[in-house]
Amino acid sequence: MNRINNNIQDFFTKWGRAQRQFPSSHEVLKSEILEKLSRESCKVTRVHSRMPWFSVAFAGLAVLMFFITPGQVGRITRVINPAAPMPFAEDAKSGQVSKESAGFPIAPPYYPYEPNIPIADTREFLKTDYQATVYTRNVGELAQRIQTIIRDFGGRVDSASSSSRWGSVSFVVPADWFDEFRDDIKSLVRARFFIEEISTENLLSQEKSIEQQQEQTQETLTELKTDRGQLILTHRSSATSIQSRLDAIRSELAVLQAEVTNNETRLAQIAVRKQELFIEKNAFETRLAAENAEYAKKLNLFDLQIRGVEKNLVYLDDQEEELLDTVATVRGTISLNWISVWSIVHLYFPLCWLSLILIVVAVAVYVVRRRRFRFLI
Amino acid sequence: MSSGEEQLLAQKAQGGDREALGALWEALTPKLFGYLINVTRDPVLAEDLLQTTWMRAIDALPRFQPRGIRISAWLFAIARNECRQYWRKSGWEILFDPIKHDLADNGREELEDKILADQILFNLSEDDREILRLRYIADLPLNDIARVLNLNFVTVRVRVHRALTRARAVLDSQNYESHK
Repeated sequence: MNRINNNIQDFFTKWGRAQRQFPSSHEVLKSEILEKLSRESCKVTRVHSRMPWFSVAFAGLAVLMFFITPGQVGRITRVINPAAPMPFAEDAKSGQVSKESAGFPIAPPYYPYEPNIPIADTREFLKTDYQATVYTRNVGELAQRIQTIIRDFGGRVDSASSSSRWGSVSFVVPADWFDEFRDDIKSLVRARFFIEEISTENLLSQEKSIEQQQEQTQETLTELKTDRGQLILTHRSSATSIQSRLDAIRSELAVLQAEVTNNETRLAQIAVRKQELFIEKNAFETRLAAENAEYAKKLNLFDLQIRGVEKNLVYLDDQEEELLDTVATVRGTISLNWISVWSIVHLYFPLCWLSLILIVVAVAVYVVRRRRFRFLI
Repeated sequence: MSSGEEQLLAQKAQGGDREALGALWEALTPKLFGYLINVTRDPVLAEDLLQTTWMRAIDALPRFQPRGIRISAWLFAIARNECRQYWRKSGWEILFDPIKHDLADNGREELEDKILADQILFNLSEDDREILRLRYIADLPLNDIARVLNLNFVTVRVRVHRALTRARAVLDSQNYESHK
């Protein structure tokens, strides 16, 4: 026992050596093996390709993934609705999306005149435009659900279209319900399948412009009314003066006509005077007629101007109301795009990651294969 | 047989040289059979597995590329694989039975050592037994054992060391029992 304890390695070496032995049918087995070798050596053996095909395939795929340009997962749909504002347009040539074509319905300027807004004016008239792109496997059903949600929030669907691959819904919803509406829309799909863009614009400049024009129009109206009143007063004064002069002439003519005399000189004087009065009377009557005509013309012009200004004032009020309605609502478009399984994989694993994973798999396959091949062929 | 000799004989055997294969058989069969008989504890089964191993080796011989691997390591890898396949097909695993000894030994001392070694192995895990078989029956160097077991060289070295340590512990406990 001590002999064993001294060196256990020696003990096992000796034991291992003792274990080695030939089988009882040693010669028979040997001859069989040698016979088999003779048979095998006569065969034309086809050496299997050592090419690690799996590794090559994975590596190739990885390279392919790396160089594939990651394009847009889906297309943004274009909606054309004459009733609704032009929603958006995609720059197909450059692929760049400008502010005007980024999918936001840019409201046309209410007035070209841009007033200087004082800094102290902190009023906000926020116009909100909403644009969302949803990627889904079931476009039709989702489009229906979105329309239902819009109507549930007291909104209005301006246009809706859907096919198996894409769809879009243009809508208007009350601004007060906008946040709840957004939450509901977001809950339809997972966050990765949803892109939304909200743009707000303060319409204070438009409001200020309307206010200033209202003020100017009001001033013009007041001025016109004052001028009209002045015209009436002036006309009355002139007409009264002419009329009194005419009355005096008529009185004098009546006196002269009533006078009875046989004096030739006097008769001649009366005739001359009457002639003079008739001339004067005609002149005043012509003047009065001209005065009346001028007055009527001017008065008509004033009335016309006043009506025009009043109409403008009503138009400005309508504009202001429209602006306030715009502020109170949110316009938007939701684009629906069908998404393929491959695109879903892209969403979760960007291409560089895919390449990396494939490279790792390729290396692992190669290493495993190499180790297996060495021993078991 | 040195590594160079093995390689030379393997190359000749690949070329269909019967003598070279005969030399390999003579050199490797005792180790291989000793290993198989220790694993299976059944001489008949061990003979079958030995034959299958060699047949498979002959089939695959044209595709064998040494590249620093000894043909003996390759043969033991095939043998291990054959054992596993046999167990998988038969649905049971051979348990190590220390009662089953090969009584073909001549000397009494050798028989005592054999019985003692079997008792020690019985108290070790299958992993330890396997590594000791490959090390001492197959007489494989550590790097070849690493390749056969598909392990790292350092891991094999550590495992051999631990197996020997555990074997010594078993031996010590048996000494203690016998003194009592």
